[in-house]
Amino acid sequence: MRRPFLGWFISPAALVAAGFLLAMAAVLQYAFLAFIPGELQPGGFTFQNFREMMKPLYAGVFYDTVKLCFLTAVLALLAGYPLALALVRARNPYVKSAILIISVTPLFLGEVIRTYAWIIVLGNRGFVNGTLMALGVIDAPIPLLFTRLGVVVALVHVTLPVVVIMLAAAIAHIDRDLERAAAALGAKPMRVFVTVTLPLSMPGIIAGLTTGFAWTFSAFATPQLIGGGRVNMVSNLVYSLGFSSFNFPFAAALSVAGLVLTAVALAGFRLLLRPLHKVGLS
Amino acid sequence: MAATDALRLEGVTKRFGAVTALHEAWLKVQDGEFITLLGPSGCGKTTLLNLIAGFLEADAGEIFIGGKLVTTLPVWERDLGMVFQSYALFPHMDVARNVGYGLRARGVPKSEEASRVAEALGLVRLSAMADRRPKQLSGGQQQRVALARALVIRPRLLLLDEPFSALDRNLRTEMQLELKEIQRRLGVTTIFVTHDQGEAMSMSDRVAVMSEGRILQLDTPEVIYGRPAHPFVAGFIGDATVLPGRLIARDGAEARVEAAGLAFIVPAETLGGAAPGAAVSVYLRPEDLHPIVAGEGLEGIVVSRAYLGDRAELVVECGAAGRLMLRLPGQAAMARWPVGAALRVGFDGARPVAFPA
Repeated sequence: MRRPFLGWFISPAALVAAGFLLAMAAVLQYAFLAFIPGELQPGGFTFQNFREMMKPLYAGVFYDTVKLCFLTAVLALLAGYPLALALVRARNPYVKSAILIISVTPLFLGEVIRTYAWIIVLGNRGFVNGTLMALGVIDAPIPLLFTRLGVVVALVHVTLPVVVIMLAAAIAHIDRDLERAAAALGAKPMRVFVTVTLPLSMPGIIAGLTTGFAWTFSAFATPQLIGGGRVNMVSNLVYSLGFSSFNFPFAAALSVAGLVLTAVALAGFRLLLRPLHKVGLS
Repeated sequence: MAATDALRLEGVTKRFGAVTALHEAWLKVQDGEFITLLGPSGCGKTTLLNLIAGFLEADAGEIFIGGKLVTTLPVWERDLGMVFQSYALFPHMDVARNVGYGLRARGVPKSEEASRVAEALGLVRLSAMADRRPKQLSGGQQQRVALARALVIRPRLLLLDEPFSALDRNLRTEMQLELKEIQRRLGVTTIFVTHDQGEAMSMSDRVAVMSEGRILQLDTPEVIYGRPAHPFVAGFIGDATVLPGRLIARDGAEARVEAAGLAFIVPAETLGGAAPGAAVSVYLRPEDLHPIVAGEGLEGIVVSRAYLGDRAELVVECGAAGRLMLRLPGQAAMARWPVGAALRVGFDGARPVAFPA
């Protein structure tokens, strides 16, 4: 079939893609250039940036980031699974819409606005501490803001929609007859869930973990504002090196390393997924 | 007291909003019986099956399985074997684990599970496939795994929801024979749902013909076909030519009716309160009609002919009587009555039924 407009239709996308590719190429190039203190222009070719990254100070940030991302993805999964299940299985259309709206809204809030809302909620005089103190549960505010816990809570909030959507897609694919068959064979609901529903949700669980991980890795405003400089993730490090110290080459090298790390993590998840292909689950 | 029924329904009713999907179903099934729920889609047969299985809750009435009241019992406590239209084999388990599922749910020890699974797979001739995944099996094999999985738990009731509808014709016939043989051998009480009357007639001890949420007739295939109790049953099962007629006289269990200028003896029970002179519809089966050389009959012209190998179906236009359908041995029909040929249709030995028009 001839598609005379195809070229015209994809040209804007191609233009954007070309822009991104050039930017990526520039970042890649900068990553291998030397930083000359006091100057914006980089020096010659070097591996120094990557050697620098091996220092415990920076390697530790990578390690922390991966841990944080994984923790966030797992928590988002745990919180998102019941939500996704309810979303898919709810019969009442209003209940369905309510769950969908609640779980997807974070996606449509600007990152800064959402983060600011969390500052209000988590602050020492914020909603959580205020309520707990008013109820007399605690005497002094629990430190939530500028802590790892606060950052994780806020990151789970923003990761949740993606995870819920991924899970819902997978759960919606499960043939209800399979659960009915299991029940007819004498399995109680919990057993049906563990032996049928959960294993068959595996593609969604892995997709949710993967996406949640990558999603969190690229988060910036949340760790920046809620972490308040005390919770460092790779993105914050890139920001402070690039825009406070103007060390563009090192920032670029960190970005490249982050990208590679994410790619490796995603590849790892895909590898996990492979046995499922054989079963025909994905 | 009579032996307990394998299944008993007492006025089971199910409504979906304003629609009554099932009106007061009454049913008694004996141990080892093969009962088919037959009807067009939307007749309530699947609703009834789901009520028996426990996937739906009845709005009124009681359900007894093996004499035990199960109306409010959850599905997993009803001790059923069920085969789904989609087979519903667990894709993440191999054949042996699929078949053993119900045993594991019942806490049967591992060693016993293994021997019973092997036995069940032998029953459906799939012993060699124990470690395959469902995806690696053909439709017929998946069907047999589903059957083995339902039977291995020795259910009190085997429920089959249109299990053959996804199979092609030859395989379907083969599976029907196989299922029937296994069912007879094990003596398991079976409730079979289908919209395919051939399937229903060939396999069942008794058939429940359903329409619009009601069981219209429950009887052996012979009676369902030969003495339908309801015009819907007469029209739905087999082919019928319907002639408008008139009730002449009633005489005990029989009645005389007149249609297309001919007189017929019909059972009186289906005529309800119709009085002599009342308009009736006379239902004739294709085998009630045959070509004759002379004698009482209707003159007609063959208007269409369908050759089906062993037999041929002729449609004969007979003036005021309208179109009649005849079923004749294939070769003879093809040789003697092409489209356009004149044919005299006789009714000797016909056993039609009539309903008030």
